[in-house]
Amino acid sequence: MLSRSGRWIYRNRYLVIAVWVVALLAMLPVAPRAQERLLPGGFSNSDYPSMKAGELINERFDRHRIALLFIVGHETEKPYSPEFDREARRLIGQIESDPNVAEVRSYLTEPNWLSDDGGLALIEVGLDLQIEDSLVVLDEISGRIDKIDLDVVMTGAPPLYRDIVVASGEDLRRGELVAFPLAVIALLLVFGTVVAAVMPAAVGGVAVAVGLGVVYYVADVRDMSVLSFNIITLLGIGMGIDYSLFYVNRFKEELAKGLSVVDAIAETHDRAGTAILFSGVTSVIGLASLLLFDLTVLDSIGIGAVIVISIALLSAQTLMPAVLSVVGHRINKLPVLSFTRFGDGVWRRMADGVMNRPFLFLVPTVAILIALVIPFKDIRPGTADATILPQRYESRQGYDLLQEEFGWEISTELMVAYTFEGDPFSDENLAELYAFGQALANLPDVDRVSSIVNLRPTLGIDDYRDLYRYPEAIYDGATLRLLNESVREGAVLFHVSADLHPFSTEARALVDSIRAFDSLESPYVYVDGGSAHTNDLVRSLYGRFPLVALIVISLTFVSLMMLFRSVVIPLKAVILNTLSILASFGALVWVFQQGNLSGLLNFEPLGITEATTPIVLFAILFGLSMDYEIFLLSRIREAYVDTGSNRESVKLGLQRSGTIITGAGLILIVVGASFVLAEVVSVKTVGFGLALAIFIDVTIVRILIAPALMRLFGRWNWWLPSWIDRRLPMLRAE
Amino acid sequence: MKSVIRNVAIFLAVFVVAAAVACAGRVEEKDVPTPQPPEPTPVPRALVFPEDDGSHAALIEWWYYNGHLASEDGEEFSFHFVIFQTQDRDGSESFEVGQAGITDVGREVHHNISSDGFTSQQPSVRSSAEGLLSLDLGNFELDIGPDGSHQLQVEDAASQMSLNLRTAPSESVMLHEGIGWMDWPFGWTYYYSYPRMRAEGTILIEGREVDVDGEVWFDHQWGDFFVVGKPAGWQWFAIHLDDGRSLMIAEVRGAEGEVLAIDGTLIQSGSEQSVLDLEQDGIELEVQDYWTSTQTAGEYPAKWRLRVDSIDLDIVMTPSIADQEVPALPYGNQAAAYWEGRVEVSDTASGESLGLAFAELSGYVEPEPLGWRDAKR
Repeated sequence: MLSRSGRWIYRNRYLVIAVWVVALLAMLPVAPRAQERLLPGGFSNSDYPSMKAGELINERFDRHRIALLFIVGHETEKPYSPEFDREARRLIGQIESDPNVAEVRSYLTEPNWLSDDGGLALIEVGLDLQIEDSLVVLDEISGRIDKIDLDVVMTGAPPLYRDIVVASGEDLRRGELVAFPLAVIALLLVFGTVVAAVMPAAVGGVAVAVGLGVVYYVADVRDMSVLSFNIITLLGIGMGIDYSLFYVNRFKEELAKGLSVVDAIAETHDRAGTAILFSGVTSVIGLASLLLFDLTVLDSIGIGAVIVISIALLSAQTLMPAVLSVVGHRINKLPVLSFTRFGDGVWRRMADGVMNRPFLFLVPTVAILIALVIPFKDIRPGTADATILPQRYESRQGYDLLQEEFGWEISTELMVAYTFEGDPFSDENLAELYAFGQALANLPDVDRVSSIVNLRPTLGIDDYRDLYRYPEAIYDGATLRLLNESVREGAVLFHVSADLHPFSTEARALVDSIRAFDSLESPYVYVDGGSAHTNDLVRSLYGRFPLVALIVISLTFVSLMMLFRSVVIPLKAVILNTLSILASFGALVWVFQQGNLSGLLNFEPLGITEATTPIVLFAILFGLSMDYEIFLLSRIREAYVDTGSNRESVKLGLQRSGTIITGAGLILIVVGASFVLAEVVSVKTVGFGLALAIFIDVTIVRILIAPALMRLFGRWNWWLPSWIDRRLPMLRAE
Repeated sequence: MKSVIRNVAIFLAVFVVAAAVACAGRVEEKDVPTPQPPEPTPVPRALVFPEDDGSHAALIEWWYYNGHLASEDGEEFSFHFVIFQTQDRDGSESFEVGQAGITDVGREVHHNISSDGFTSQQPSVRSSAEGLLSLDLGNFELDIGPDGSHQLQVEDAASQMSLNLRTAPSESVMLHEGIGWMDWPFGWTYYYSYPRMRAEGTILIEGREVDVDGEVWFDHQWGDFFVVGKPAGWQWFAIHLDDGRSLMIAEVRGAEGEVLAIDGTLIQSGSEQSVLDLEQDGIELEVQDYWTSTQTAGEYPAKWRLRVDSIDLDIVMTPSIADQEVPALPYGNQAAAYWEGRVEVSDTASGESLGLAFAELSGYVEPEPLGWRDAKR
């Protein structure tokens, strides 16, 4: 299919290279700055009910969007001693001097803002900023704190968020330092020559540089999350190297057959080029699916990945043949030890062994995969808390102090706004509010409701009517504060507490129970809080996930059907692909959510699975695993067309692709596994999931299950109903 | 063909299982529950002493003392000392604050002291096998021993004021409403007093330390109730008559300022006590003068005539010092300022001195509107 364009590139090799050099030179100045254009955050959507509730509550009740917490202590003095209080007042004064600070509250005016032993005190700083913007002012506020004779630990959402971004960045850099040399060794082993090994890295590198340059400009016109940056880079490098790897390998093979450089380029472009094109298309389909989730962080990964993969694909289709046209036979220069020298007969013998007793291999391997899938049924998608951070970060230390010294428990805390018409203290409204407060208090799992109509369980509606005849006359400071902070004309806030982990299924069910009071025609109940946000995120993501997965699988199926002229092969490919991804998801749940192997892998079990992780992994892995499947099957089909023997074609296909797929897989396993060394649990999770899924794919699925099934399906492997055959365009794969 | 179909079926089954697993964990909506009636007010139990001098699970509780003290030289002092404790509805959190006033009657000097900060239950209330209560708020301390003895301390380093008193247990407990429990306009409360406890200790006033002794009135109240100010409030009197009688009289106003009750409790000398009722006993409390605070603009009653026909009592009560107003605590309602001070008791007809009393006047300062209501206006 692409033979002619291969020859055209050969003839115009210097022009093609020149175009790429120009593109590279144009993008080099901006590519390193792509990250600067990306915005923090992106884990929420303004259409989420919790976000709307948050907006309403912040606006109506003059609440600050986010808070910084300062935990202060002194070597010898205790809170309320004159020395301690003097220093605390100085600190508060310095913090208040920052124009971004909306309000400061402290133990000096708030009851019970002391640690259990009375040695530490709390200062809360309210900011009217979005979490993303608050990151910018953190350093500014910290910079104002000067010469205070107090030990200060800063925590709260913005510092935690900042530290997670910083720690993830450090993890990725550390991972890359480990992964890069190992990947180079893997390339040398696969190709056996330095020149051939350098080619994929060089062409992949050019693709990523140009791709990031494009991301830089795209980020200017569309919001993109900085959290997507590392994944985009990883995918760019991974795919760039993968495509180049297969291209170079085929080129070497064609040269070895005695073809001239131009014929070898034409043949390689025709065979490997088509396979790479389809691999790229399936990867783009998988990653473009992230655009369907309507979440900035997933959008960003989707857009960024589609850009870098498209450019990697383009470079593999144009730059690589042009460079190989110039390099020619010098591709075999500088030979080093290679495991290709051990002979590809190993793969042939393995295929033979599996096909001799297909069920012997099929049953246990499928059983293993199903066993790995099983824990996935217990998945608790949620959002991670501070425990994903290593303890050496200040914000994490503060988080631990709040629990250990101040007795703060991890619980579900929801703010519920009940809206109505008119004066909250009118007889009718008060009765309605009282009924709602009672109903909230009687919900399963609710431990406590704090509101102006839930002061004591012994008080009835008549008591509240008496009490609120002149509400401003109530002496009690706490109740007075509640009246000032939680009541407005037409709206009253209820604070609902439950002894549940905020990201648990039960907590999310509680959010649903509260929202069930609402009326669709005229909403009057608004729920905000971590569990509500997690609920919206999980519902939004997982509500669409089955449909998105179906679309991705269907499109991939049709693409593969076009490529392989078969119904059974694409069906087998998508099923096996899905199974290996689900197996890695199951393992993720078993390890990171349930805490198995936590000692070995050095992490604190989360109790949840980060909601976006399975979706991002699905999008990445579906395309990536399909690459290997396409490279294997294209070689099998090629052999089948040549020999007409199902069994022989499988053996030849595995023999011709075994080393290269294993090499490519090995590189990605090395990259993924290096991130398992990360300190941030979510980075560790993605690395582990990636490495495991690729491992399953290149070993269990490709070497054992695929040959066994090909043997069992026999001639039906290449069955295509004639009515489909007539309608499908004719293509030719590698 | 059969084997092909079987193998395809196996894999489809695997896929279906996997898909089912992927879709698991959907949230089911629950029915909307119906409101439940509130828990009934608890049936009052008999109080046990001295155990009930300790802390209870209640929305609000206070330990209150006032006293009339004298030095060997005959100098007269008075004081009040109170620690308020409030708890969450589930008792998981509580906090305490203290207020006190010390008056040098001869020099007409009056000082108020507040506790330094808001302390939580953990540091301030220590469960002690040896004592019934041990509260330490920094500059306020209160200990009630297993024998029912009370020790209270308060100091204000800045103004060089302090009070350190030990009191002996009292045999005569005054159970208000007969059982020490009463319905209040905004809840219910246990309430009893030890009207006369012998006390001795020291007072530091303006840097001068004086040994003192005298009689202390102790009030202990706890329950689920709210203290509501103007127009609601109360006038409360703890009267020590020279003939040995102790009398508590309270006039309580409701949400609209209406007088809900004027009643009291009397202990004759010894332990015989009786509950006094407005209608049956012919109680009449007449305000004869007012004093306006320059701090809060609160207009407080400043002279009273009290008649209780059934016990043949007709007295006039006059504050020893006009300004004995106690400012509100910084965290609370500014309208919670109250007047708490020594008053002198004399016979209405003859003017002859009949004893000393303490008066507490609550609900006389205009509350500020709630912030959001104010903004609306």
